[in-house]
Amino acid sequence: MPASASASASDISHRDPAWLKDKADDLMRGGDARSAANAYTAALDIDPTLRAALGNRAAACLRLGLAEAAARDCTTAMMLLPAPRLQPAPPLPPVSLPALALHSDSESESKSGPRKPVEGGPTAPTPELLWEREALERSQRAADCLESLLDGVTEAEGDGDGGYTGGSIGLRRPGSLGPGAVESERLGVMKLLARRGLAHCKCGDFGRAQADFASAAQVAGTCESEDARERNSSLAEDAARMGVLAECAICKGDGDASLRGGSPSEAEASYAAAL
Amino acid sequence: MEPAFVPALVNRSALMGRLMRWSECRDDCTAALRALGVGADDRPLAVQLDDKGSTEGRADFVPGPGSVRLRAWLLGALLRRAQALVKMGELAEGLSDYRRALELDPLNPRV
Repeated sequence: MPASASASASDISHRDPAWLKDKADDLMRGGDARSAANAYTAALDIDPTLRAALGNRAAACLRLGLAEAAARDCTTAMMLLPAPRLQPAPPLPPVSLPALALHSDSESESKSGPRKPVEGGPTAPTPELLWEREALERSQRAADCLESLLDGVTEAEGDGDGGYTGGSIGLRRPGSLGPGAVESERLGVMKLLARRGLAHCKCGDFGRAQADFASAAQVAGTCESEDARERNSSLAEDAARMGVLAECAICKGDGDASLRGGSPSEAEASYAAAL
Repeated sequence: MEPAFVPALVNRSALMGRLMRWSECRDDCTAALRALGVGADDRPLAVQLDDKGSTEGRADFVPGPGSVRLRAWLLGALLRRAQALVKMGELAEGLSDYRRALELDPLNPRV
């Protein structure tokens, strides 16, 4: 084969996200988590909506000790799930257009100059606050997606018109999926939730970990395969363990507070309770 | 509740150090290090942390080898145990822990 032909074939493969993802899977199986994470990143640079690559990169990150990045990848992958069914918007109150036109404060504004921000009024949100809001919205949306996915089975077994709004980024519509495909979607969500639960656990956020494991157990309970049914009980156990660890963390926090407050005996008791 | 809960062990060892209860300080640090996969053998720290056997036996809340939290726990437990050992007159063991801490963080002025 001429050198130029071989080079172009190589270029094509390096631009194919599916090929890169398969390559990353091979690296992961070989135990090279760092190279696998790089290959998943290369695949995601080309196609950021590749959910499987996000989920597998989360696994690689967990192995590398990058738990926060793993949790973020799982959340992003969950955000790529088909959007939940949209509720119809409530009817708008009747608007009287002539009245609206009369009620114009442009004149008074022009006399007094541009409005100044009110003292003590709402200020611009900090980047941290914006991030927190975004994270909250993401997790809420992931939960909604989960619900829509759970509804998907009945839709798929029914007339097939699910009315889902997913698909703007080339995702399949769960309402039009067969039962087998819905089962596979559910297994995917179960894995993502369990992986994010583990990531939160590694970050020391046991409350969130417990919630994720409990959701994963709930999804596993709705699956039909034997494996998933077995995972249901182990995931429920994981959720219970996260609850215990959350209590440990609370006791440890009490100990830290007592230590800072200059009460070593109370701190010792709290640490002993955690252990 | 969880005898191998490393964050509580590491912080209790700090309390024990402050109270100058050095043997209890050493024991808490040893328990924390064992939970993190660091035993009493002389193998380099990186080898011990990457050891598959110890990785699998590690508690589920312990982060992976590249984690900043894991390094902080390891460094805290090693330095505190070294201090306890020196106070107890076990200088050779104390020096060994300081060497391990240096291996973990060679540029740390505290070490």
